[in-house]
Amino acid sequence: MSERYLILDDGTVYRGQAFGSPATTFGEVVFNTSATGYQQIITNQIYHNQIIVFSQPSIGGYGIDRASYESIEPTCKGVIVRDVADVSTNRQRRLSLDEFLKIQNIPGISGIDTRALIHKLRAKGTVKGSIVDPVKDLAHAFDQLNAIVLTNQQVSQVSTPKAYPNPGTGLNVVVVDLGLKHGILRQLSQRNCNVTVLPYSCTAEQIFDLDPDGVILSTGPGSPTDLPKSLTDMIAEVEQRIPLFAIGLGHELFAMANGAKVKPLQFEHHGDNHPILSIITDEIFYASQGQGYTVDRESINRDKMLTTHIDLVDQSVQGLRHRDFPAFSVQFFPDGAPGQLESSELFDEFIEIMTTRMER
Amino acid sequence: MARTKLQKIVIIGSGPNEIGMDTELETATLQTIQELHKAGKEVTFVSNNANSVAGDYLDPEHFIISNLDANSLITILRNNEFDGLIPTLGGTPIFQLLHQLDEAGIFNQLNIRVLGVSLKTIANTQNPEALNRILQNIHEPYIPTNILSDTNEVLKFVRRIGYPVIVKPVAAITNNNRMRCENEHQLKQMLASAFRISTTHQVAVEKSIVGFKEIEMTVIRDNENTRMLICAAEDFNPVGVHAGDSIVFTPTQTLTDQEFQAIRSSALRIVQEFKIRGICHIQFALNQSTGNYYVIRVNPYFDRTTAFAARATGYPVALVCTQISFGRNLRSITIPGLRQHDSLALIEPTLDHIAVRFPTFSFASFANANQELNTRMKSTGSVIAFGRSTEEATLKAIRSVDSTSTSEQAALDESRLNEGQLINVLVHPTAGEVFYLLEAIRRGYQVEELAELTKIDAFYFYKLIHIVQIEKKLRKHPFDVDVLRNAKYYGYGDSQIAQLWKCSDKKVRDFRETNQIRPTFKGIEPTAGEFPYNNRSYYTTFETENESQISEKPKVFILGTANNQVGTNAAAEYVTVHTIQACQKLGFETILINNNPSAISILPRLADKLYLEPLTVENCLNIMNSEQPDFVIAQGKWQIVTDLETAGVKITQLPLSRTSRAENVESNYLVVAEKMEEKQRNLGCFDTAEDASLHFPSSAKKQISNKLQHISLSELSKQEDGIYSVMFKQEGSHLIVTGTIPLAIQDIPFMTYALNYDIVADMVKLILKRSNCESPLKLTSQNVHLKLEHVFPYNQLQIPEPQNPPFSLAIGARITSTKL
Amino acid sequence: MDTMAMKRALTRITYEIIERNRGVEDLVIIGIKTRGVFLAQRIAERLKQLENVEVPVGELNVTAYRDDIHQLDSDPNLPGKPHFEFSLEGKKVILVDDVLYTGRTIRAAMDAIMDIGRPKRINLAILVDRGHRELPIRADFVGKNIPTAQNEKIEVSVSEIDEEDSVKIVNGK
Repeated sequence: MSERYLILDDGTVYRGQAFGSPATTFGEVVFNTSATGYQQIITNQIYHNQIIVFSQPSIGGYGIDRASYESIEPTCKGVIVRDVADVSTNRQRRLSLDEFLKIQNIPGISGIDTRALIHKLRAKGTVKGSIVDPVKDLAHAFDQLNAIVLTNQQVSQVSTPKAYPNPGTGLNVVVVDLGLKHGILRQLSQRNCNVTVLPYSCTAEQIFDLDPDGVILSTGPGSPTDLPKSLTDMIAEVEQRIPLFAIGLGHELFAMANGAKVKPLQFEHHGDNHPILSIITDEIFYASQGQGYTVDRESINRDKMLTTHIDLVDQSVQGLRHRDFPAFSVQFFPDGAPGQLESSELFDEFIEIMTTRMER
Repeated sequence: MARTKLQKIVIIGSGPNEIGMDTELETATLQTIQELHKAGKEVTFVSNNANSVAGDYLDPEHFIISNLDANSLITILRNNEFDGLIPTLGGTPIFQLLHQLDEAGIFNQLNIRVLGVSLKTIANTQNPEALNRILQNIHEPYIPTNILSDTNEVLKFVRRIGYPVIVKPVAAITNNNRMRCENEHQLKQMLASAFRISTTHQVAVEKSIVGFKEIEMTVIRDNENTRMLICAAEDFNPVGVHAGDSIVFTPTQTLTDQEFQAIRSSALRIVQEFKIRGICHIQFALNQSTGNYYVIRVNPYFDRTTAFAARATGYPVALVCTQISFGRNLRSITIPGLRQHDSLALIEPTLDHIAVRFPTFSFASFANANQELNTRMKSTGSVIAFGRSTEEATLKAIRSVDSTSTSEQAALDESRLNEGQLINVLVHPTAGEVFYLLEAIRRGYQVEELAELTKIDAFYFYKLIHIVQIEKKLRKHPFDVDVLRNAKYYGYGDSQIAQLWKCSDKKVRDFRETNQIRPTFKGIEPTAGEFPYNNRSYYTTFETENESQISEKPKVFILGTANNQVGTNAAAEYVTVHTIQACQKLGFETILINNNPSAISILPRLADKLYLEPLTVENCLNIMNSEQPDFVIAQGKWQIVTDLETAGVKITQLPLSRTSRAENVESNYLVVAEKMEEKQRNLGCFDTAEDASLHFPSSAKKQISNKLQHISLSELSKQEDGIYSVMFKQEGSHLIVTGTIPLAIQDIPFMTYALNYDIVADMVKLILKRSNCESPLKLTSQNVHLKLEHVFPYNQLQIPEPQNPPFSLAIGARITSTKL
Repeated sequence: MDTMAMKRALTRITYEIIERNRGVEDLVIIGIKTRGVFLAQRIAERLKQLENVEVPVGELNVTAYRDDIHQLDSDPNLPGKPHFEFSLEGKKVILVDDVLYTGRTIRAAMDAIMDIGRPKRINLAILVDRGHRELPIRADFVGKNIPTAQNEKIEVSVSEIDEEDSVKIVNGK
């Protein structure tokens, strides 16, 4: 393996070994503490424009498998690990992680003291970084890194340009794609839903025309405040007429559509080890989380919205529900993939809300 | 029903250590006692383990030495008005005993609440039929088993569960083994003979899961059904090798998220169904070609795996479970370590290191025992190692084993095996398997071939191949800096490199130092660096960040005694614990190196600082370079002590004999006598019996006793300062001194208890030249007769026990107390 | 319906109650004996969790008001007029029962409530609606519609008094 560097915008240089694509990339460096599911993490579109650091030291042990894609074309900007397993098990005709990243044009760097790097990210907050080839003079690479302006149009990059169906014979569900995680579709398929995926730019009218039983606002990358106001307007209109379930970025937008504010976290939180409290049942569970933003608790209009879930580590809002309409949202990923399945019953709850309304 | 107050709590301890039971239960017990005391509870501990450290944490009336049988326990329970009983710290034989008492209604009658898990639940989990019934109710897959008496029935059953199956005649006339059948033809053939030799004309048929991957989940549930996964571990060896004899990794290395989450969800459902309040260790078998899993065992109590889970993650399992046992819930439990977020008990552990447990065997001492690994556990201890890659963790574990028992690991020299022998070992794994696997790789065996022969996941062979590749590079390029740097990064030890470079360890070390390839120390904590953590445990790796903060206090560096072996065994742990405590009392910061995951001395809040590292010269020197201790303390002299001294380290030895009380010395009496700064005194007198048992108080008549005392003092005047066993043989009215030797480690826990005198503390003061603070003797009333007997592993290794076996082969020790 | 489904149904009903009533002001919950009472308590617990308000919960035994057992009116063992610790005047009552079948129990419950006060409104929350109504009664909050045959029975278990939380269809003979 050849040598590569990871450089950060604070001037730090890490030396490591190249794997995956030989491309030079730039991105925000964020860390994920999940123990399993590197493939799902790498293919999750929430990492658009980001370079992912895995705290789990050994990545790649079971290759890439067909059931673990969260998007077909991942758009993260790089993968940073302590050790990448050079495993070419063809038992299930799997690609190795290295081969997969080469195909997807995503560079990787191994041999990094990821624990030290995570300590730094935690102290510094979000930093920009770049994976580059070794050159005599890194100054140029740093100039490029400092000059680069990362797009804030992530959703438009990853959302589907055209509507498409995911047919089933059950309830009719519209999924608004903000950078959709396949886990959401998988959960709906398991419940036999007839799904139509719409681009993020869809209007309330377009949704109404499809006459769905429910609408899901998907997960996605970036800041909700960078998205056009038409999105929150759409939500405010749809929630009054159709059961709504919003996840991740969708949750942040749902909160904004109902008057709450969203603020960036000091450092992004990606992992599945935080206890989450379901307020109504007073039960604690674990779920996969990936967020750079959080709903400001103080800004929630209590007459309009109920807080339904709380992260017990930092007391952050993890779930909301409209007081007047069957519309609710969660910040975490109830579809797991990777991560715990304890909260997948939120999809059952959504199905039951739709069923009840139909039967009335 | 339940009484409101829960003040007096009794813990039933395990018996002496044996194969399958290292000191892990004792370790969890001590944490439990500490936690109960903190909550203001009155705790009593019942045990007959002579090496128990619990006496340090309890006053004499709360430390009851008793036989662990039904009658003795009932008497104890009747005589003390206990409110609660903790059943999860005594191991399997104790459950059976407690279950008997429960069935007899003793706990109801005495109004004693059983904490953590009901005895009925434990009984249900131990009975395969009951367990399967419950698993079926909650739709969890179990291993289908059936007892049938007709060939057609069997064929019908097998068609449902699928091949291969294991068939065993019920109540067979001959001692026939279980047979594995791959197809209908084999099955029919097998059935014909099986029915014939079954006296009841029945066969037990069971789905064969041999070769499946074994996964071990450690889960905690609290009183309000909050459940969390503490540790998911993956066995290197497939089902068919006892989990205790398998190498174990955490985090899991080869499970996809789907496989992982399915098993996790299953574990959570199971602890909910069984209403566990505290710890539960669940074993699963995973068929990776179908992705289906099966529940194979549910263990709602502390064991080897829960100990590994606690050490590997740094999560204080026993502390949390104790609080749950007296009614608190995870959301209100805080645990030490985390600097900011007080809800840490609820944060699911996630790791940024790889931890591995390696079994260690004592076959060098039991050469005629069968070393093949199967469903019967044979290892006498284990080591834990940490690394930042699978290779590093594996190599460090190999080194930990190596440093203590190289010769014992492989009875055969793997490089001399012929092809047939090697293949045989691959198919039928024996102790020290990993050495044979490495040899097979050196000889060019391919991954797929090895995976097929051994049923070990191909992933591990890629890792072992990488290890061999580095080995080859090292061989080819002696004193090449880049090769060395890479080898260190992936976990090679200086001594391993020295062997390949055919030079001294020191030369490697010097070369490494010159090129500034130096270790860094990383904290072992359960949040993967997400939260600031006050670390006390560390491991070594070769990266950039060093987390070990060095204090200005006077320090002692204490060498732990590593994996449990026959001979010194748990007694050595006892001495280590006392050494740490004595040093702390003298104002030293205590820094311990050890690598036994079940060890008592690695209790999270015992030593001020802990390095969970292979006990090698390299690691000790690295730590000493960083810590600069004032003293380095070791128990007696053994290989590592000699090696360190050769490397120029001044070691302060506790004057102890590791080889036990002279085996060939005939004696009737033994006087423990101490000499400190020219002052001599006797600490007490014991009887010694032919079977090597020790008795206290001595039966010697007054006249003889006086004589013994007198002679021993004069014997001592010839000796250096220290504590000695002076052995006497009585011949008629004559007393002959047959030996004056340093105290044997094996005897110390018993003597300390009998004399109610901290012998180790005195030795520590002696060697650290703090002898002016000598403690007065305070003998307890001597109305009981105490006896120390050794426990041997012959039975478990299925070899005949010789008459009066040498107690250097003992694995544990039993103490008996009889009223005079 | 298993434990999880039952839990979800009660959670959804609770949210719907909040939606419909624009909060919990003036709300009282009355559970019809026996299992309705436990369901009523669970809904009240959920409201407490969400809104931090104790909604009063009452128990109602409707035996005396059943029109199908009027021949036993004189039985001295039958309970008389119900009694609550709180007033019903001007309150929004949520009546809770486990199964809605003919509607006769609900009619009796409404009679009983009317006997002792004049609530502003009565809503009905039901865990299972099995159809076969004999009176013009309709539930406002339904856990699950389970269409059944006349000869089938719905068996609701609650963990407070039964082994588990579950709803089962039992074939009647």
